[in-house]
Amino acid sequence: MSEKMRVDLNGKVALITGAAGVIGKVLAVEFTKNGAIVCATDKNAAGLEETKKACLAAGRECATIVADLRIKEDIQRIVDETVAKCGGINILVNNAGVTGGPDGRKLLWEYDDDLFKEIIDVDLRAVYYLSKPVTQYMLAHDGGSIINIASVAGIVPSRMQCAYAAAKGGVIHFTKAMGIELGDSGVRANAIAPGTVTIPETEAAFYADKDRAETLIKHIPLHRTGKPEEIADVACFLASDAASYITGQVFTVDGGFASGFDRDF
Amino acid sequence: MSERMHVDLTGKVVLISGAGGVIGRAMALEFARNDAIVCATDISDKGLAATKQACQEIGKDCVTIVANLSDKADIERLVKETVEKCGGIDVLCNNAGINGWPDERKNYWIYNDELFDSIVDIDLCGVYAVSKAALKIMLQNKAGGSIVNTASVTGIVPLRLQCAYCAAKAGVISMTKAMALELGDKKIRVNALCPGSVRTPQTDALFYSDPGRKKGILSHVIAGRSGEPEEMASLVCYLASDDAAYITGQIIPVDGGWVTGYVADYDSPLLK
Repeated sequence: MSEKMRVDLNGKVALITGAAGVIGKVLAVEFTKNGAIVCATDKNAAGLEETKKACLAAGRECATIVADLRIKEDIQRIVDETVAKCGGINILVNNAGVTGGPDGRKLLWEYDDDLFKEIIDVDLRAVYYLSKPVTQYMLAHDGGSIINIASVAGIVPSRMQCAYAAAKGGVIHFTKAMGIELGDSGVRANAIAPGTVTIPETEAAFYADKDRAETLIKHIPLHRTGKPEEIADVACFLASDAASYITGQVFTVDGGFASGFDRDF
Repeated sequence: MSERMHVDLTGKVVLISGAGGVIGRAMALEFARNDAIVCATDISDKGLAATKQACQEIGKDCVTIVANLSDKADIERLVKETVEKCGGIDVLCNNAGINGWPDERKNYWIYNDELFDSIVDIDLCGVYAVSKAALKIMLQNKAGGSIVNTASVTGIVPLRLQCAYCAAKAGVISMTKAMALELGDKKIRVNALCPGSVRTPQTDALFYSDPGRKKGILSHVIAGRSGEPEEMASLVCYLASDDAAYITGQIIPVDGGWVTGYVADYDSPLLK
């Protein structure tokens, strides 16, 4: 079995939002393994402690900041504390996101207005709000790389996720605008659009109903859900100098779901 | 000179937001010309008065309702009054939208937060809010209906210094597809119009009166000119009609080919 890809992120400070979540925790661990100094933020304090333990096991404890991206004062505090605790910011991974879960899925005309607002606020607005001061810092210091975790739902929407499709479509496009505006300033911006990602803990539940699981994965050419590591690897690559000519792009990591229509005659 | 396109919209009630603006007015006129029952709404009563007058000048008319689309109660009133005055809603044109003025165009890292939020509120969240309210009526139509969202080519290919507008319009595009998926079996089609650069008194004053600026913008447009408001309205009327019955979930630029490809190649005649 081949060794895993490694990139050189030594000495780089990586600020990761939503770092207590499924993908966020793995992002923190993989960035740590590639040598980065990780600053993990989330509004879930207990979850952040788990992330801290996982990073320590992977080679270095991460800094943690408990904060809520819907609160404007928290945004500036995240930036200030990251610089204070870690010495700077070289990488920003805008990973925090709200989906509404299975219970939130409703047709547009029955959708919950408060959930719609929360998804737009966290999944779209907060990307702008946090990227602003971080970009200003990067431009004034050593440049950097910004990675926005969007979703394949922003490229190929599904039913009953109107807010998520709108917010993620907005983030993907906002990322391209960021890339264009940043130009040759030394800061790059890219997006990753994950497909369906499961972890061993949730896989059992996902595949418990065999027929339902099969219906969901039969449209995925690779015929399985993705692993968080498969998202984190792309993020580490984009953060590194190996991606120095890549900016304003969207990487769809979805097992081929959005490539085309899988059902032919 | 050929006659203008005619589609059969007889008796269809069309609710058009942002109908006090130049493109919205052209839509109202075009729908009225094709015998629809037009309900025009805007935040500006002066704009609506001009739209009503324009409809009357061609021997038609429209209902006008002033409403603020960032106010949920106003949206409910808008839908209620549309039904009271016109009998129902068959076609919804989510055309209302705002953008920053040229002196408000800034790099995203120094953009004005209030402006960012307003643009996301009206241009993106407003489409959701109005659609949600109008669909309560439209879902009762046995014959289904049609929704056309006015997005922008900037939602397909972003422009610099307009991060909020790009994000909001891309969100509208994504939501248009999501809506189409959800409304298919209700026989309501949902599509998006993406205008390119449209000639209006504002764009004339801001861009097209300066030859250098005009050349700079138009050198990227295959057609070599800006679009007319009527050219936006033509597509919207067509999409609203039964002649477009197999078109849904589509994002259609009316932009003279602006976002078709990359113009600044070595030999492009457009750059000469």
